[in-house]
Amino acid sequence: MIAVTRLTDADLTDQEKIAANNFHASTLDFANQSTANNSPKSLLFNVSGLVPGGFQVETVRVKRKGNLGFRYQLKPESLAGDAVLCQALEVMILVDWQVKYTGKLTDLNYQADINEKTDHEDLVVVLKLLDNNQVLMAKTCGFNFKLATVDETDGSSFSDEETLTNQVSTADHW
Amino acid sequence: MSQFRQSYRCQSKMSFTHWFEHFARWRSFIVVLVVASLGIAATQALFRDVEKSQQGTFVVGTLDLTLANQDGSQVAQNITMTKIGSQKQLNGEKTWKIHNQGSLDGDLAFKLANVHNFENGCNEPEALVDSTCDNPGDGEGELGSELSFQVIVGQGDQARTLVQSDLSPDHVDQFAQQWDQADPPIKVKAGQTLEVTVKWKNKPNSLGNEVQSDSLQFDIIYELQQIVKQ
Repeated sequence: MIAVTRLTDADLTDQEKIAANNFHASTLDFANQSTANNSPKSLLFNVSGLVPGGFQVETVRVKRKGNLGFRYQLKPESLAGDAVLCQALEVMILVDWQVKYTGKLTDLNYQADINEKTDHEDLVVVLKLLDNNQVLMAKTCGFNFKLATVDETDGSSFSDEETLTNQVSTADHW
Repeated sequence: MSQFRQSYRCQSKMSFTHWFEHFARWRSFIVVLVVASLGIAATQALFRDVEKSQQGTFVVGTLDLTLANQDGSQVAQNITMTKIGSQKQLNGEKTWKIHNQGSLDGDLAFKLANVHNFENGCNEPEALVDSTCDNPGDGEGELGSELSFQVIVGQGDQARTLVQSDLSPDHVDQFAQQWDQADPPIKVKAGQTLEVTVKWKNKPNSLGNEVQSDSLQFDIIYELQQIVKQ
């Protein structure tokens, strides 16, 4: 009798699974909208013939569109045209009819928080010319309002920014 | 006539004799042939060989792997991380207790399955920096490539880091490959408990707008294999 033995390789096994491990990133996004109908807004002021003592009022809704709350900053940038006029223009910002800023356009640096509960902030922005110096006659000033999320040390790694364009020209005489 | 008869008788006698001698020779040959055949058959019947194995072993035992959370609770919890991106730094860890409650020792294997890097579309800030914006966009998400993972066996001074990798689509197999290269291999003896920790953190300067809304999903599989003694 010939007997042959062979080691079996039919090993026993058992398996356990940790299913559906999940990592999910959030979102940070905002938009400028009309306070009247929530339509997108990219132009704020378009004023012609501005005279000393004159002013224009516009509104904008800063609307949170992502999941994360954020702090944003509003500043003027890309000033073009007659610097003397840009330096003379003044701005007032009201939120809930409370004055949050009043002063020179060029000094504007407004910051606010929109958290996950508030959803949006409505800004009432007043642009005015108080200076009646005749050198300001027939001048133009174009500028943007840049709204951007603030980069904070313990804040989000995400960011967003939006722009509102503005154009102002003064009267030929006063 | 009588000569013919005599001659015939002689010829006949001679023929019979001749025939008998002829037959006798053939008979001898046939006998030799038959005897030889019998001998060969008999010889074949005597060829034998015997081999005997001294090491045949029949093992009756059990191999039973269980998972528990670090606090001992039996329903093993998965990893769930949400709101990634709410802070610049992300790090965390999860530890499971691997227990062999069978009677046989086993080698422990680790691998990932069902790995998905979902894009989940792009919002406006993400679309400015990400060219892949399908929804769900399986395989297009960037989150897996921006997270670093470690798989660590044991605790304290006994801890061994066996795996270091991200979870980009090209690196999924690294988890099983690096684990299998462990020297010595990871064994869980009968009745023994082993702790395995998965750690994660974001890579430097990562988690920008390109990962907004992205998601990463995967299964972790622990497998215990019987150790067969050679």
